[in-house]
Amino acid sequence: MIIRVKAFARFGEVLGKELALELDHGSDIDGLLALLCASQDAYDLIFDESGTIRDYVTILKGGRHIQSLDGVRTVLKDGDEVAIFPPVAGG
Amino acid sequence: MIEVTEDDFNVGKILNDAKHPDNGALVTFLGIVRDDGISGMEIESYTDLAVQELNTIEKEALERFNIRSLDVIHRTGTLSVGDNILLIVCGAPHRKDAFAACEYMIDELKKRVQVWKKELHKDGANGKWVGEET
Repeated sequence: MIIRVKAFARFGEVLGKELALELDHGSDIDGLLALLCASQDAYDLIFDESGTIRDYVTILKGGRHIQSLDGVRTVLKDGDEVAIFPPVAGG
Repeated sequence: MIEVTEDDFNVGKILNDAKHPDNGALVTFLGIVRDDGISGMEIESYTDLAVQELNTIEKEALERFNIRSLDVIHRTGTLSVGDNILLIVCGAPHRKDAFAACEYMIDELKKRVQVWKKELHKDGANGKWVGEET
């Protein structure tokens, strides 16, 4: 299945701004992050030393925060859009 | 009117459009690119969500304050020093609500709306994202 990923600000520079990633059916956010963060730079940007997602990282699936779903266990389906970004800084 | 756009805006026209017989006050916030030793800014947005969040904040402001209108335009793209970034125009019967609602909108926008700014260096070196701590 294909998952569309949008990353913003510095995350976009490191991960790629818009991606279409192929994942196995039944994959979840955890699996997506494993693919996204294959490089050390990407991993260090998203995860801390203990392997926990850093506090400042926001991940949305279909516009909804994954914490309001099943966290990193949120299951994805073909065509889903996932957004990942750092704290906002508009105005 | 809520917009996230690359296009510049005409402040005078938007102010004029916000005039209404019920409004005794129009409070305007105009954010511009400040010369902090930079050449400009790159502004990026997650536009669909940013517009959605701006509409939510506008609704909150209309419920909290006695205002008639709230217009917000946030620009994206590459901007130079002195360029317009953001316009908020709040129309209300009285000034206190207009000031309060305008302040509410800018404060909440900075905390909640999916927009990011990158300062561009004069020497062409890679810039720095505002608020970035990593």
